[in-house]
Amino acid sequence: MKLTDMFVYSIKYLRTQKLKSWLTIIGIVIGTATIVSLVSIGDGIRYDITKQLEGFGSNYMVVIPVNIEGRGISLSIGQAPSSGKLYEKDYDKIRNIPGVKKVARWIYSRTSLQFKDKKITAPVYAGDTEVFDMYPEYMKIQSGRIFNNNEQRVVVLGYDAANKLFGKDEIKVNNKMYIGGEEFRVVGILEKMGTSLSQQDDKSIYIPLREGRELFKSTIGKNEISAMIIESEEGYDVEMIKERIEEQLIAQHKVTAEDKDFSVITADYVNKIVEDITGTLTLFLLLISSVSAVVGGIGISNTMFMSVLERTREIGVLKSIGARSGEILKLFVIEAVIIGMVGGIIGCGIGIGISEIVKDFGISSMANPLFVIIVIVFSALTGAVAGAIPAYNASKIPPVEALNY
Amino acid sequence: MERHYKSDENTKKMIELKNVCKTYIMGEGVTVNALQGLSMHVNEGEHISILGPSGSGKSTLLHMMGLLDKPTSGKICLDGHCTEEMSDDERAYIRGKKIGFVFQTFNLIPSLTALENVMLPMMIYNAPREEREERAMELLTQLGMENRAGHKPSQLSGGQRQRVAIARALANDPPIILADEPTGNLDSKTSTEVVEIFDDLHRRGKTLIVVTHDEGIAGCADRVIKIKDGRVLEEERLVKRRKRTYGSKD
Repeated sequence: MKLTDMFVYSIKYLRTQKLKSWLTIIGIVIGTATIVSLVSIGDGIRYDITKQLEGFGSNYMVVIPVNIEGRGISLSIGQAPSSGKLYEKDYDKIRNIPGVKKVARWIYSRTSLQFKDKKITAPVYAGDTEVFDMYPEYMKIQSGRIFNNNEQRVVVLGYDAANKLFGKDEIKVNNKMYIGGEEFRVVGILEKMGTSLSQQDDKSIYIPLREGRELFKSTIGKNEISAMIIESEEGYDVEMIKERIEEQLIAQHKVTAEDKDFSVITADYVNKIVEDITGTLTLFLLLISSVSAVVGGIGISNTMFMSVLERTREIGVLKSIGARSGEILKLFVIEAVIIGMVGGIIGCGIGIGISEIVKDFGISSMANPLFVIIVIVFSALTGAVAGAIPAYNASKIPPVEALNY
Repeated sequence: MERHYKSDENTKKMIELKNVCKTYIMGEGVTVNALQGLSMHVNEGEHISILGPSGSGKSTLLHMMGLLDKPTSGKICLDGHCTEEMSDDERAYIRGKKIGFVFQTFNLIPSLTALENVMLPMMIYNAPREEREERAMELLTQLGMENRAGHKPSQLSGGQRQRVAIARALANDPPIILADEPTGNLDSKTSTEVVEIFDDLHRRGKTLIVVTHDEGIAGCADRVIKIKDGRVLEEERLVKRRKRTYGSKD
């Protein structure tokens, strides 16, 4: 008996048992739809993170006044991280460490904003113009230009800050707006980053550091810095520079290495965290996958055992007209494979559908075609494994017994 | 009208059984001797009836001849092939090629149409698709079932189902037809029709073995072998009449 004929034969049988077949298929559909949608969302998030990090080259570091190291992803659990403050004198120290090429300072504060009649309050970032050089991939100018450090009353807006923050009114280059009650001129608007992680960044509002110092003087101390971005010279070991920065700041802040009140974050460290998160995510998905494969497989097994029992006489008839045991075995395995594969295909379809729908809710997702194919093949394999024992039982029924059943 | 059968040495033996025993072990030491050293043969082109009450071992005998079951001891040869050394796959092959089965309960595959049921034996032997369909349709037409080709067994009457089953038995053009109480589930009118079909098959050279407990059906054969307690009780050769009618008892 040809394999194609076996397929046709099995499909004809399954079509006469619609309810039973579909119920079994649903068992596989639920599992595969869950896996495909979750993995697509996982891939989407991973893609966003990667894109976010692209601009953050391996020779960059960020210094923040919060100690997050050694806590990894459990940051939010347990005791609050010890936090301190960064000052201009820290900036001076860091700038003079050999191998440090550029240092950009940031301060930020929530400030009142006004464009035309619309007033809102949002965080405003004041920084050195070097920041834009350090993230060439990420902070691309769409229209206008970047400010320079000595300019006054100028602002650069993130894409969404220009287009969404003030409702229907879109801000254009050279428009006037009010920041902290002062009139500012829009000199540049950035390109949209467009990933789920960049939503906040796309709404950002940037002004020169000196302007920020003046505007935020009630909330930010005179010499205080919110964060620093450091670019190292090529050929220098980033880890070594990081150690030097830490030494300097520990001495400056009069703390110990154990309870330091700041962190120097390198690209390696960020990558490690990303890998930790995505690794945990992958492990978790693998667990869900195997659980749903087992559950779906048990469903197929159950149906196949019932099917063999119900069709014992049919098996006898097939044997009486010359079907060999091996062919009976294949026939039932194929039936289980069809159930698994149809479940896999429908499940993947639904999974892709879900991963498309969640995009509307701002969740990134990417359905990987190769992964979808793997899931379908795996569903078919689950069917084969689940159908193996019932099919073997079927093939071993002696013909007379089967006919007299 | 009757005379004792004498074996004709010039005729080819299609089926030969020598001293066949079949013992079923039912558990707890209980054994059933379904066949007890039974010997018989069927010549090529012969129409045989195997007659016996239920429990006489006639179905077991048919299963033996059809290679559906193996004897506990003894020898079975089919069209010159001795079967005791054969593997299950070889037996399945011979079964499908040499034997067409007709059952009391028709045993059609419920998920397939009449046409597909008839095509099934050819499918097992990988006949090309067009050939299968053509031959299946031809057989259904011969049996007056061409208008029912697309119907599922559940949409057919008993007589119609048995016609489809006969068409299926003929699909691979086997030399031997084994029928197990083929009219057992049919009324007398359709039974007559089935007997007529068998007569026609016999005329076309098929070796026909019909197991029955109905003497009327048995009377239509060339030879009747009466079975009791797993042994041949007696054999009688019937004189052929030009037209036999089911129901007329000799």
